[in-house]
Amino acid sequence: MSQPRVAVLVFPGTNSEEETVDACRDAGMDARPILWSEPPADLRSYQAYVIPGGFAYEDRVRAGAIAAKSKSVDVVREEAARGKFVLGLCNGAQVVAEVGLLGDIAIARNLPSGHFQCRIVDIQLSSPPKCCVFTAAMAPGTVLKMAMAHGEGRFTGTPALFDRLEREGRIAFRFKDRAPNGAMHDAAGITNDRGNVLALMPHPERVAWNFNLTFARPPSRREDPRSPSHSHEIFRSMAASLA
Amino acid sequence: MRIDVVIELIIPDNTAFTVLTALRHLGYAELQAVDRAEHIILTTDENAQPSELVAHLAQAEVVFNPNKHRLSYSVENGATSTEPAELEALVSDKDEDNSRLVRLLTTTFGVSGVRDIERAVGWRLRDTHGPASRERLEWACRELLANRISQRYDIRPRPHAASVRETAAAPTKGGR
Repeated sequence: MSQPRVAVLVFPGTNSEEETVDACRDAGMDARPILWSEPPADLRSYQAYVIPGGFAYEDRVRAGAIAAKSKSVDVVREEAARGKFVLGLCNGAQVVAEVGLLGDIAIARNLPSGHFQCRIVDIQLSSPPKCCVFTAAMAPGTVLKMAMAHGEGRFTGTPALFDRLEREGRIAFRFKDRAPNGAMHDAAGITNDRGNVLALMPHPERVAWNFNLTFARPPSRREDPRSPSHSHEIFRSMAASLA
Repeated sequence: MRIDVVIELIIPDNTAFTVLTALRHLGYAELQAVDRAEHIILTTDENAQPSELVAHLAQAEVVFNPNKHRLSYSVENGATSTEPAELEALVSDKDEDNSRLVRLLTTTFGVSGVRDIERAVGWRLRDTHGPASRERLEWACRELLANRISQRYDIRPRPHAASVRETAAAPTKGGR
């Protein structure tokens, strides 16, 4: 059986495409980096899209604002409307929010810190796993370690909208402790209403192998350092949903 | 009293150039130039001396770097130009908390008299007809410059500003 084809979009300033491609490949997907300068129409042949982390267009104007206006992201938005999967990781999540795939949700500057924050954080699956294609294979309440590294990661919108997100199970991931970036409802990852788009601020791909977690998760020292870590579950869920 | 401190780059502004290119791609073909400035809007004690306070702010070099910035300011209800003013769009975050910056400036750097700070980014656009109209600026804010959920924008005439170098208390690099 052929592996599902996944496009990992690369913009000037993206810096996490290699580990994202590797994480997808280790989960059994045929992932390829696609540059911003390649013909946007070629993206339509892929089954899923990952917009990785980094600083696309140097975060000029706002994080994700310029990339969200690109022809490539226009195609991703159209394909998402047809039900294809879109995973936005950190800067990719900012692009996903800027382009409107989450509805009336913005990702704004961290508060109260007001600056870039970088640390390993515990992220908990907080909605029923089946609500989202990227969590469908996880056990309810799963806690994953991820690398938080952003200055603009605060999910925000109206209180009424966030109450609705809670009722609809769209806050897929939550910071286990209080959100360091001040996100409403401690949200770390939010899905669209169909569950085929996930905007996730912390990076699972940067801690996707045991050797990434030897200090943050000491039990991983007893495991094969080259094996995928438990944070790899997002990519395994994605692959399982695409199969 | 409110003092609008305007900080502009004196080196090439890559962000402004990116916005110029992006807005042209979005349909504003006649756009010729984009200028960007950071606005630090100080709410101060009534008896504060604007020129001294702004000079002290510049000397702190927290929000201003003399190697790459030009600094000017205007006082709310202060002198205004008699010439027709160019319009600018001020974009600011709806949720902002600059209390840490206020504490840093007033305690660590001794910039006394500052009660509160608001921050915004000012945008001016010029096309083949001259300064962009209000409608064009609003379009640019909706399309790119402001996120309608997390930010607000205000289109206003650009106030007449005094350069900090016009003030007697202006710091000089040689004195550092």
